[in-house]
Amino acid sequence: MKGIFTIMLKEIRDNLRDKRSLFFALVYGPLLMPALMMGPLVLNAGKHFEEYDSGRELHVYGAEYAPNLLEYLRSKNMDAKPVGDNFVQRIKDSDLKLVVEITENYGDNFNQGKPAKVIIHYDTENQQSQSYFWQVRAELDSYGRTIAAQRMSVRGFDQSVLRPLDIAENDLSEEEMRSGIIANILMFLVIFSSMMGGFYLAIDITAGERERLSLEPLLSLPLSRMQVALGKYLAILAFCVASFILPIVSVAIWAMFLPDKFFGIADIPNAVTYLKIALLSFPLCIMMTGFLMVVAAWAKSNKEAQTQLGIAMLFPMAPFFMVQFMNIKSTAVNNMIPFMGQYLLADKIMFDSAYPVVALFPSMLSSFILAVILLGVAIHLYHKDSILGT
Amino acid sequence: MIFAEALNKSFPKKGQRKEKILAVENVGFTAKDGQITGLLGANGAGKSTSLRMVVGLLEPDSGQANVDSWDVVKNKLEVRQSIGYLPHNAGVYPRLTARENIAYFAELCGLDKKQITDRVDELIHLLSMESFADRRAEGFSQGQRTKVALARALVHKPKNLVLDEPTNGLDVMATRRLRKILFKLREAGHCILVSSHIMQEISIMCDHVAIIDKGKVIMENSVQGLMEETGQSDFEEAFVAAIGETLEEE
Repeated sequence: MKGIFTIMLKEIRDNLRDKRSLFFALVYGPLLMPALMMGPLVLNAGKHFEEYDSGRELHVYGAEYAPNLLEYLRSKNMDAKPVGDNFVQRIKDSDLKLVVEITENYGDNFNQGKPAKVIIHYDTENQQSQSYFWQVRAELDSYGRTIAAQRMSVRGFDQSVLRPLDIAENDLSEEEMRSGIIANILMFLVIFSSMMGGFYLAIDITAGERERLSLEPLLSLPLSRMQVALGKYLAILAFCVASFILPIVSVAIWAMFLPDKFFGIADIPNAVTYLKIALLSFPLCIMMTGFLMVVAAWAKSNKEAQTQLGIAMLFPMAPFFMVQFMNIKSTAVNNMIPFMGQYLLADKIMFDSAYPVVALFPSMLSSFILAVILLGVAIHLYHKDSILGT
Repeated sequence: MIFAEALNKSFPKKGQRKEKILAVENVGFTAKDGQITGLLGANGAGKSTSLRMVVGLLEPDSGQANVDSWDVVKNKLEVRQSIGYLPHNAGVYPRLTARENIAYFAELCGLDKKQITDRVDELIHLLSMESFADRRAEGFSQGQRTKVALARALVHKPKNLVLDEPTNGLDVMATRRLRKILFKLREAGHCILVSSHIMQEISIMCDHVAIIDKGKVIMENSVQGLMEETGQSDFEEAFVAAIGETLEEE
């Protein structure tokens, strides 16, 4: 056992001195990639949801003609603010998002029961302007329906004749999809980061060591090949685990900046959510360690290992795109496919933080079995003559 | 003592995995304690493969080799415990210092902390490595790398030493220093097995020489004995005659 840990510690120390290994293990996957993927999401979501949350200014031209309408809008968190004549140009210049123009004869028409004209000026090329338009439009429609109902009621009609359909929304996918985005990003980062974290170390301590001719003296020492392979495996695993935990922490921190409404009916992720996702995906980390070591040990040279691992990295990435674009459902079989299962189950955990841990076991077990097989293959490769490059 | 008999080893042909190349055929030699034994042969003659089998890195397809009566296939760990191996090209870790390189091997050989410190200091002094002992090995000259690798091979005080082309890349002075160290070890009763393709090196250093060519040991004797056996007065000519090549006309 001592020999295994001696090799592991030496490989870790050796590679901590290699700036490239360190960068990919501790910076690239754990910090840069989460910032790249979560940053825009947080910034956009923040803008999108803050509009619905807080009272906002509504620029109105001709506010004096419709005091009741403005009072109604104020009750909906839209405070009217008068604007000057040049408002059209200001919208074009993105100085204003939207202006509601109340026409001069609004009052007369309204009192006579005729359609009173209200113009919404906005710019579809401006995303914020467009999003505000739908909100203002909805409130104006709502005001219009309220007034119509009052008028019908005054005239002795049942206001429900204006509502031939009673439409109720029950959107099941929309809210889950938003938490699903975080789950997919998180799984992608966990897989990508831990692979990148162990990538250069795996190459350096197998193919690289053989190329430097330092593997030969190491294997001539009074140690079994299994000890050597396990020592190296544990060193790669240490780097993979570090690069596996850090992006989860990064995403958890980024997700704290998402407004609660972002998650809709899904649970707001908490420590339990992330712990369950970590537990679910940890066997993948062990599996990827074996995978990296097998490919690096199989390759004849450093360069060949880099090429092969670069191509091989597409396999664990594929489920991300399949889950994203192929609407693959979580089933007992799909959940047991390594990588795919983790993507599907992470989605469920992110939606419902109370998702039972026991339901994760089949997926974890299948990945763990594959991890053990890959470790066995790696140890086997270390027993072959070809490990020396002969 | 190292004893090899009828060793055979073949490798798959590159690009044609089913076909095999015979790298070593029926190789046998004896390297005694208190002697420097040389494996002399041209590049690709099978020297490194033979040494790799002796230290247990490669398993022979057939034949037998013993190190101090330990069988290299059945008793791999005991063989490695009693052998120090200096591979072709040293193979030191560039991001570790010379001292860390030696200490790492010492720890893997089972020495405790105190033994490691003492032994590493002793070897640094023995091989005159004080000036670069605490520098990282990247940027070391070939001579410095060879010294580090030799120190690593000696760290567990093995009775037997196997050196694959140890003077490769060394300048004259470094070669002379290495030779002195090996003579000291020989006097201390170590069994030293050296492979080389340099006649002069072998003739100066070795007490016993096995000439290897195309994977086979052609002749085995002292330097003087080989010259007598081939009827040549010059060692280089004796080698050429031994491997069956025609001597060039002057």
